[in-house]
Amino acid sequence: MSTPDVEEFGEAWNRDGPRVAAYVRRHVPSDDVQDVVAETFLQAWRRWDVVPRPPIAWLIGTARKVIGNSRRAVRRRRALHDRLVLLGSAARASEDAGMLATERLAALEALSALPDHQREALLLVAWDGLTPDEAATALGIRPGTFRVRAHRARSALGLDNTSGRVAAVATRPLTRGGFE
Amino acid sequence: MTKDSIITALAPPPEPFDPVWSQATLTGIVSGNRTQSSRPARGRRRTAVALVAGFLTLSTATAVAVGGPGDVVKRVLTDFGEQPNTSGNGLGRLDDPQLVAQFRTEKGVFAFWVATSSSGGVCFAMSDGTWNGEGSPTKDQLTYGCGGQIYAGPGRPPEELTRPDQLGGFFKDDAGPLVYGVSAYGDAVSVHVQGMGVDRTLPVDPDSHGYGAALPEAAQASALTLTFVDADGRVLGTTRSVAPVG
Repeated sequence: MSTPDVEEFGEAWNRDGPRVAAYVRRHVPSDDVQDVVAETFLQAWRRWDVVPRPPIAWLIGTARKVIGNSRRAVRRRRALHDRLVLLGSAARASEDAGMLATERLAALEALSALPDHQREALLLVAWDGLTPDEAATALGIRPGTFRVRAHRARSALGLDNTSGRVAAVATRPLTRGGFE
Repeated sequence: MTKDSIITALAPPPEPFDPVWSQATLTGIVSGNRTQSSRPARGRRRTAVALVAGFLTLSTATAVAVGGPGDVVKRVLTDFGEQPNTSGNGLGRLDDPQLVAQFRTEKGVFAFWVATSSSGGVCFAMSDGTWNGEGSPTKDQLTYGCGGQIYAGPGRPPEELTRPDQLGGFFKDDAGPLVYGVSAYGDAVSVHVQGMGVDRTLPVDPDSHGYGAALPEAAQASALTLTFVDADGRVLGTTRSVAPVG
């Protein structure tokens, strides 16, 4: 290995590692996050000569495969409740996001109810900050296929309707002072 | 707040790594070898050794096998130790190599030997689908080395190879699932292997304390629990081995 390679890899570790961890955190229990991140970067190091630059899409795609190979993760992701727990542990807290806890819960429940491939498509862009093309790379699918999945996810959540709002019903129990 | 903005606002902020874990893990990763076309990755993974003091070498010439497999392995390791600037330097007297395990996989015969030395060194040799199991392997059918650093798993710093029981583990690749290793318990006569779809007992060799087998039934297993048992049926200890991914 050459010193420039080590330096560049170290920069990628520091720059992209937390982003990969954020992705992993919504798929596996917190105890397994570090293991998956480390395994992902170990694979990256073994193939560093051919890993595309910037590497983030490749890294997330590899992390996805690492997770997919984890029997524990697969088992945990089966149940809707478990998906919700994982998403809840990964998502920003309601106070940090500037919303009510019930708004947050409603959004997470809606995300959890999506088919896995649709939720993945939506969040790779909305949460992981990938471009649609990068997200398609991470998923190993064509950009056109990705756009279809993302569109269906957005439609299922009503995101394509610009007048759509989070159901007020979900927030009202916490408004204490009644409705305006 | 729209649904769209709510979902966007819930995007988790990247959390910086724990600096101690980060440094240890990064160091462990970059101290390992990278895949090179001239050397099969499978071999390195199965030895789970990333050599930093010297390089695991493959012979470029075909040697004529003379003597039994153990004799060939000892000669190969001795030659390796006599080459300048290798991790085989300073071994002192090399003990006779012990066959840890030999079994057939989907790729052919898998065989693994380990040899200690008078200076406390640990050397190993492996044939992974290149030797047909008959007669003795030739030098170019072996992958071998001494000492070095062991990749101890994600999130763990590398370990120096100082004991034979550090070698081996559970592996899944194009040769199919397999497990092998050296018992850390001298009194062990068998090891009970359990995991998803796996529940069987393997004998522990009384001389090398080695064990191993192909585990075609372990296709769905990501990890195995190994329980070492003595002749009276007492449990001596348990270890867990996670298959490397990729």
